Amino acid sequence: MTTDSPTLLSPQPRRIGAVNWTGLWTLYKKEVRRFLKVFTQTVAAPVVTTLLFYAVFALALGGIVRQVGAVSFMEFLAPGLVMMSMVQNAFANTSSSVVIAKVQGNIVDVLMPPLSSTELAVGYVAGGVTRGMLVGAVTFLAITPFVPIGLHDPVFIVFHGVAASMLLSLLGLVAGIWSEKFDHIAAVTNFVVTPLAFLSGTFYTIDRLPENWQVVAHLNPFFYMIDGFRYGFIGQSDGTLGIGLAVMVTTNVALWVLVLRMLTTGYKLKA
Amino acid sequence: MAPPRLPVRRVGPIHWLGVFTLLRREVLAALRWWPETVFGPVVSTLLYVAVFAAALGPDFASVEGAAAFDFILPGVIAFAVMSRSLENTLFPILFDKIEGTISDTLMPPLSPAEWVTGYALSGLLGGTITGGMIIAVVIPLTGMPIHDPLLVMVFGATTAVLLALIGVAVAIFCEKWDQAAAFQGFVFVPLAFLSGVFAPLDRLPDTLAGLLRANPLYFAVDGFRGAAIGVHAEPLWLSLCVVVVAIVAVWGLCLYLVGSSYKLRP
Repeated sequence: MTTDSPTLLSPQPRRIGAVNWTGLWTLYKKEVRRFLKVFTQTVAAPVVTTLLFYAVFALALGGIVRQVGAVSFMEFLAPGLVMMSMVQNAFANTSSSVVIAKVQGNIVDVLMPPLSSTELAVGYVAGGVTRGMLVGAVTFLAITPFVPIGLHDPVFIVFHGVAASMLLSLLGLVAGIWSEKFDHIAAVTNFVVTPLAFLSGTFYTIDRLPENWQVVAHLNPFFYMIDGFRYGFIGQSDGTLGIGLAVMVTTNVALWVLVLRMLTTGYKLKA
Repeated sequence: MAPPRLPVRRVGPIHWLGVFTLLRREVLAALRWWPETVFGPVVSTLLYVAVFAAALGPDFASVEGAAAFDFILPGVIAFAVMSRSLENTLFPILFDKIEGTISDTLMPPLSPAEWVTGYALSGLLGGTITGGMIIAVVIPLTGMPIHDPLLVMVFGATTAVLLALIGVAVAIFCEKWDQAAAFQGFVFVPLAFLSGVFAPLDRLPDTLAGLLRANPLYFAVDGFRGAAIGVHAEPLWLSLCVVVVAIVAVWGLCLYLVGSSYKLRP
C-alpha cells in the first residue's frame, strides 16, 4: 500500500453496510472454535453418552418392548436419542458461552464491537445450531452400524433438526443472559431442559402413557420436535405433523422476539 | 522481656479435630449447593424411573416387565450414589488445586491418612445423604420393598466410600477440568452404565460380560441390588469382599499419592 497520499495517513472509518458481515462471521467463528477446542467434552462425550443410553435401553427393554407400531423398539429409539443429543448440545453451547463470558467479564468483547442485536443473536444461535447438528450427525453415524434406520422423508429430518437446534440455542441464549452464576444455568439444565427432553417421548410413544399424562405430553414442545424428526426416519408419528410444524415455527418466532428484546434492552448484559 | 510463649497444642496419634474440621468443611460446601448436589440427583433418578416405566408401558404389567422395572430401581439409586460420592471429592479437590486453595488443607497438621479419611468420609456423607433422599422419594412412589435395610446401608456406604476414594485419586492425577470431565464421560459413566445398572450382564456378549465382571462397580451395584430387592447374580459376601478389597487398594493408592505429594505440592 502506498503512503504518499496524505489522506491515507489518518485511519478512515470502516464502512459497514446494512449487515456487518465481517463481525457476524467473526462471532460465528469464535463460537464454533470455542466448542471445537474442547471437542472431547462437547462432541465426543455427548456421542458416547447417547450410545450408552442406546445400549442400556436395548439391554434392559429390547427383549420386552419389541414393537412400537410398525417398527422395532430399537429403530423407534434411535432418532429420538439423536434428537435429544442435538437439542441438549445446542442449549449447552449458547448458554455456557454467554454465562462463562459474563462471569469472567469478557462479554464486553462481544458487546463492544459494532454488532446489532440481530447480528449478535444470529452469531450465537448459528454456533449453537452448528454444535447441535454436528453432535447429531456424529451420533447418527455411530448408531447406524447397530440398527438400520430408514429414511422416510428427509425434509422432515432437516426441518425438525434445524428448528429444534435453533429453538434450544435461543433458549440457551435466554437462559445464559438471565443467569448470573453457573448454578443458575445448571439449575435450568437440570430442572427444565433435561426433564423436558427426557419426558418428550424419546423413549416411548405417548399412547403408552395414562390418558391425562398424554395431554400433558402434548403441551411439551420437545414432543413435537422429536415426533416430527422421528417421522422423517420411520414414517410414523404420535402427534399431528401439521401441529408439530406450527409449534416449531411459533416457538422459534416467540423466542427470537424475546432474545432480540433482551439484547436490545441490554437486560442483565449491559449496566 | 520475652513475649509469653503460647502453649504447644498437643495432637494425639490421630488428629481428630483436624479430620473433623476437614470433613465439616467438605460436607457444608457440598450441602451449600444442595439444588445440584441433593435435589438434582433426586430429579434425574426420578426421570430415569419415569422414562423406564413409560417405555415399558403396557408391558409394565407383565411378569418380565415388572421384573425389569424392579431390576432398574436399585440400579439407578446405586448409580446416583456412585456419581455423587465421586463428585463430592473429585470436584472440590480439583477446584482447590486449580485455585491454589489446596494449601488450606495441606498446611494443617494432617497426616496423609487423616487427609484421605476426611475426604472419604465427606464422600460417604454426600453419597448417603443423596441416596437417602432418593430412597425416601422413590419408595413411596414405586412401592419398592426393601429386602434387607441393614445390608442396603452396608452396600450403600461401602460403595460411597469406594467412589469417594476414586474421586480423591482422580483429582490428584488431574490438572484441568477437561481431564476430570473426560474421566467421567469416558471411564466412569460407561463402566457404571455397563456394570448391570439397568440390565443383567448376561445379556451382553460373553467376552464383554467377562471383562465387565472384573469391574468392582459391577459387584457394588449387584450387591446393592441384592440387598434392596433380593435379586443378585453374585453371592453377596463375594460382592462385599470385592468392594472392600477395592476400597483398600484405592485407599493405599491415595495414601501413596498424598504421602509422596504427587501433583499436590510443588
